Amino acid sequence: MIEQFITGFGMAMRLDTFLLMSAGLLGGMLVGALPGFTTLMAMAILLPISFFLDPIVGIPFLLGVYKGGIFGGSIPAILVSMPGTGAAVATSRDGFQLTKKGQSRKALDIALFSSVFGDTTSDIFTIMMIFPIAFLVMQFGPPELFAVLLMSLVIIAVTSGSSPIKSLIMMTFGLWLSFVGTDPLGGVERFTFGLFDLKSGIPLLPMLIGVFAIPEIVTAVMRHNSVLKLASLVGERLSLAELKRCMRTICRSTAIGAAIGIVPGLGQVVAAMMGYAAAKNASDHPETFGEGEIEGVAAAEAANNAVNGPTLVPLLTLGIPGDNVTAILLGAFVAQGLRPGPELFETQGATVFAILVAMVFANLLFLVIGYLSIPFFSKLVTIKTSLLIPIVIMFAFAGAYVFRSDSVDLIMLVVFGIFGLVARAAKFDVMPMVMGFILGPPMEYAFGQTIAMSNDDMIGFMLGERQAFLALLIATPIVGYLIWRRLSKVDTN
Amino acid sequence: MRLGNLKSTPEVISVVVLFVLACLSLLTLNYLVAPPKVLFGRSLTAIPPSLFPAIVISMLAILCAIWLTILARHKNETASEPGISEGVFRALALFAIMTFYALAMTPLGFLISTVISLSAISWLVGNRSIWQIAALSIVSPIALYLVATRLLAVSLPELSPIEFAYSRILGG
Amino acid sequence: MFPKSLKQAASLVAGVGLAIGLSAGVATAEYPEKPVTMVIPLGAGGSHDLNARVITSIIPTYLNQAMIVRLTPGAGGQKGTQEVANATPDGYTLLFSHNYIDMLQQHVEDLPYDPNKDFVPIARVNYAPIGIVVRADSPYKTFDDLIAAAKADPGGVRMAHSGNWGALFVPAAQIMKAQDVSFNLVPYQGGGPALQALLAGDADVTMGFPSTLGSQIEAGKLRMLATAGDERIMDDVPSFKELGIGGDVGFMHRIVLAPAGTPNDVVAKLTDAFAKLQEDKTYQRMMGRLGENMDLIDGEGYQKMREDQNAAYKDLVAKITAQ
Repeated sequence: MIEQFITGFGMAMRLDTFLLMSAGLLGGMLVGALPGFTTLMAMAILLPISFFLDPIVGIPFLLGVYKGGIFGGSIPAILVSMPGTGAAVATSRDGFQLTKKGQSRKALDIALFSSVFGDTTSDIFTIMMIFPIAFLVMQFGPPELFAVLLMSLVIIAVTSGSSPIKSLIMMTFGLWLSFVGTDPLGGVERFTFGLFDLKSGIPLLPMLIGVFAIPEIVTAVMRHNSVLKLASLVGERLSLAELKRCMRTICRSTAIGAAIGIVPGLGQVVAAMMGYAAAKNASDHPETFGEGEIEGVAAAEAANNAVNGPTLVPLLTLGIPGDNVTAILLGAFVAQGLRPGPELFETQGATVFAILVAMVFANLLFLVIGYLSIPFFSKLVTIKTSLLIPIVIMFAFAGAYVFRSDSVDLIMLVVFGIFGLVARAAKFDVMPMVMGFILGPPMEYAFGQTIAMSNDDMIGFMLGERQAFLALLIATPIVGYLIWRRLSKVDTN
Repeated sequence: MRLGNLKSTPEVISVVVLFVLACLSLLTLNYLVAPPKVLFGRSLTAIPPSLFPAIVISMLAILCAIWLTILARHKNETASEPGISEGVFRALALFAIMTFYALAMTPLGFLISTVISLSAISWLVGNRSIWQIAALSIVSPIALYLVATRLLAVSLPELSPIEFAYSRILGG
Repeated sequence: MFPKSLKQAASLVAGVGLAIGLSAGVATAEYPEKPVTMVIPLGAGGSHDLNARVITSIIPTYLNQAMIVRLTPGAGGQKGTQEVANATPDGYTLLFSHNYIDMLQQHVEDLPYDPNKDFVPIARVNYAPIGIVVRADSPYKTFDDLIAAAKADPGGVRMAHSGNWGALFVPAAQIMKAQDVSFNLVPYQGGGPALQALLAGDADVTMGFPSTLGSQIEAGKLRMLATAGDERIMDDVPSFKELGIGGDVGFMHRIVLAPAGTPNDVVAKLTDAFAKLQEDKTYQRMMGRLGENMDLIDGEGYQKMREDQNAAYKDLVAKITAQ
């Protein structure tokens, strides 16, 4: 094992590996920065290229695209409040407030540093603990997934707004919206009113752009001043003192993200929200979260990137892709003659370690690439709004379209824009709604699977086979209550 | 439940609307959710498709009711924002343009609909330089279209003649 | 949404403008004059996506035009399918689908299109045969053990599948019908999670493609009980036919369809391009690496199979969904 690792380390030290990884990182970042043009698309398009490259070049290249793309998604989230994925929602909350305060550069810096730290730490952790993690992954099935999703929703509701009841109202409304379309288990129509356009449900991306970005655009347009800028400054770079202040938060979020990465099917959205909630809960000044707190950006970004390491474990040890990104990586591995599975480490150990080592170096490389490119990105917000707003609207519409190639989604975008403005006027936070919307279908799916597995004997099933599920269910209201009590105490002080 | 302290703020109106919607949906749930399908004489899925909606919408109705009750009991602080009527016209105009853009993208194609919408938005946000508007609203959609279709291999709606033109100009 | 006449007027205006601009251009060029779009009614990263990336990266050599992939998932594949059904039949919009979306869905859903009338098949690119798998430590040593267990305890055997009426569900239903047994069908979001459920012990049996399971079987973690088709795929594993399950059961056919009414010369051009694709060395190598076969059937040949599928699925659905 150790020998293979050392051989692998040597194999990874190649100039072409590093050059293509840099190209992948940069390209991924640029594509990821366009909402709607997902990292997944970029990886799928570039996959055939990797077939023609050496495995130690081709796969790190794809991993570079992936890692660059995740950070790229945070750029519009921070600069123009336009999160392109659910994972970037938590980032945009404080990130965009920082931009409005003229500190966009600082926000991007902390996002970059937290992402790289979270990712690198979780990658190293994964390389060292790959077999114990593989064992843990097997302990989580649909019942545990359901329980963790339920607990996440409760935590999001109590930590997001000022009033838990209002947050819960929005969250249940988001769950309701997620029912529109065909039900995830049986495929029967719900709330479609017989309209075919609604049959495949409400699309996520138009909702994200609609409720987060359009209200900001409209507010800027209402102020009307042709020389006005979204922010007049890009501000200072991140200082070492600020980084130190965030370090506790970054470490906490990394641990949370890595733990969530072990639960199959949860992913970055939950990790980012949980990292954010934990940071807010642990802070002495939770009221600054949501008002432009760099710790908020750090918490979300470290957590959603720390998911990456453990999600590779089922792929490498069992050959099972947990999501679409790992499915593409599986394609790349297989096409290179590396068949992921139980024998991979025995037969191809050195090559696999070379790829994993390259992955860690990709993170460090990205720290440099990102740091050098942030000044260019952060300048975007200082373009005067009369030029910036039309361009942003074009990207919003093009992005909403390419997501599913459906023009109905453009109407949804406008409708959600109006909805976002109404919610703002009524002082409702749209974040719990979006989270309910995203996490609703997997929760219902896991619940249906759990019931099917129990075969009409739920109590026997929980006590006999699934004690962890039962424990999580019991813990949920307690955790929710404790966080609520702590946050309401700080509020009244 | 006393409704004495309830004022018709946007907040209260929204919650009342949600409450009414939730109650109506619960009453008509059987029409809104199709019945489960049958397989080998039993339901195809372990839980009926109306179970989750029924739970969630009931919760929504209850939460709205609780919130309205609390608000009616307490003297609610009247933190009514000063009206922002000044920019309302511009906001409405922006939504009109965006609606046009949304409806026109497929029939008119990406280039034409974007040129029209972007020019209108530029004018709306106060750009009065014709050259700047023209450059912005023609160059950016062409650039985005070519990047999307040629580099990223995803499609945007476009009229056939314009697609032919791109192909010929690029020598495809 | 917008009246069709407006759309025509707009294309006319654009067309006139271009005609002026490009009057020096060639008068009547041959198909294809612009990139061809291939709609996939499924999500990114799935096996259709991967196959399509290989096809679209090589076929331009034979079509002299780019081929663009457009992923339009939604409503169990109906969204993308409907889009192509409604597209202009000019050969610039094709559908890359599979037999269950194509022929089975019409019997379980009300579709906004008629798959029998709205499409003409261009090619069956390749197919994936399914196998029945259990854990290596499972008490079911053979297919008959599994059937006996399901007979003894109806609904007691948990079968993980990848979604209702999907590639793992239909063969399971066909076996249940043929053998008159009942499994507890637990859905998972894809074949990967279903396999993970099997390995974790959450499920007793699942289905999978032998090409992707090879490593697990060699490592002694899984046991294959049967594979689809008439012939054996693995030497010591019986085929479905040997077990009395005949016909087109357990095959996922990856197919390219065009909207009905596509001109014959366009169909011929596409058929020719797909035929040449099979001879391409790079294509063979890339498909081989993905573990896919290259058993091309042309549109005409596949149309006959489609008609048989239609009848078989109709019968299957009628039998198993009877009240």
